Amino acid sequence: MTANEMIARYVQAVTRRLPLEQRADIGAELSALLTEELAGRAEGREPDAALARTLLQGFGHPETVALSYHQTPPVIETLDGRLFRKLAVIFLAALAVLALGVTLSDPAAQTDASFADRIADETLAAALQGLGGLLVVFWIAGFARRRWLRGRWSPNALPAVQAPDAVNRPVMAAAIMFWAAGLAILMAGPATVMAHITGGAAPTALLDAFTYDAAFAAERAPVLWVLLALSILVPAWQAVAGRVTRTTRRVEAVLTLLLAAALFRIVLAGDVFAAEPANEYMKLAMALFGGWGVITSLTALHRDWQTRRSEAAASAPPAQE
Amino acid sequence: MVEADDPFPKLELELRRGAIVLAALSQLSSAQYGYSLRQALAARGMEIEEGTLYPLLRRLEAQGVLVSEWRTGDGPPRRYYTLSEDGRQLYTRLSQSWHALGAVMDALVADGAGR
Repeated sequence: MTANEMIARYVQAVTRRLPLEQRADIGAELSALLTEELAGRAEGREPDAALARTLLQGFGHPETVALSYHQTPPVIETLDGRLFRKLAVIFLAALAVLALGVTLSDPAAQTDASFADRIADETLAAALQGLGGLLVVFWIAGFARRRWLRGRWSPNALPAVQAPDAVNRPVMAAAIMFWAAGLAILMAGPATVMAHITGGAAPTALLDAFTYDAAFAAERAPVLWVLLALSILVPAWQAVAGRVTRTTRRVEAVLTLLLAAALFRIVLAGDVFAAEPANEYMKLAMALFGGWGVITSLTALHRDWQTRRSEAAASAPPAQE
Repeated sequence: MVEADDPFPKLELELRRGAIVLAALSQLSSAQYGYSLRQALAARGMEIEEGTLYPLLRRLEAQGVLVSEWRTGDGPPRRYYTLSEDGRQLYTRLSQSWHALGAVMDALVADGAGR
């Protein structure tokens, strides 16, 4: 590994632990400073990897350096933030589904006027306790990791610099096949697929439960199938190209927003399945997916805006010496 | 005393740590970039580790004490820092505190040495 490559790996390891809007700017400055430090230590010679290793080792573990760029150390480190958000959303969604399921299915809800309020209070308490617990677990994990990492790292072992837009083709291809199979099942109709797989031996009640509502199948479903197909085509295009471009990322975000809007419309317009409770649960699932779609697409568009702003700040040095 | 148990390095480090901000501010009435600032401080006997100084400049900028800008000249693009107006006032006040503290400490240390 060359000295420059080691510095690039180090800068990547630091910046991926920083808030997105600071990454490009701090990365550019850190890279320039480390390169200059290295040249200073080389005293006119060509800097080698051993010299770079000594410099970086003295600079500190990337996690420690990244934390020192914060005004106040975050409770949850940036690197863990994405996992924390995912787990928190999954936990809250599961809790909401559970609470709704209990409210809809418990006979007491029909007779006891305070039942829904009680469930809402208990759900809120469980949500706060769960999120608090998750916060504590992440804080302890981050603290323990920093203690463990102290003195136990080597610049040689830092991960290689990845192109930020590179695509893992095998994983992407597997995901596309999975989504395409799912879409095919939805388009054919779950009842039809079940009947086909079981050779007509599936119980009639099961087939009836998963038969589409006629109005949905005729009017609203085609729009949904088209949007879902387009949503699969974007990653398919990315897999073929081998990279995610800013344009495809934006197209993906806009399509997800449109898909979320279509799902909300379907939920409000009428039934999806002809029979209950499959219809009720499907509409609940669609509402949750729609909400998730709004959050992810708006997050992606906001991130895109932040990245452009950060790049503009880093790439336009205004004054001349 | 075993060298590993010698508390001097750690205590001296803590002593110097308190002076790092003032030391950095003292050199930033004119624009400096991170490496040049570290060299200027080292030339005056104040060695500050890179991993401490560079993030510190960013934090001081975020607090409004410093302002910075990218500059290109003959060399590569560099981010130059200088005291903001608030930073100048802060530096004056901190310098006064430092002198007062220095006087107190001189008296205390002289008192301690005389006993």
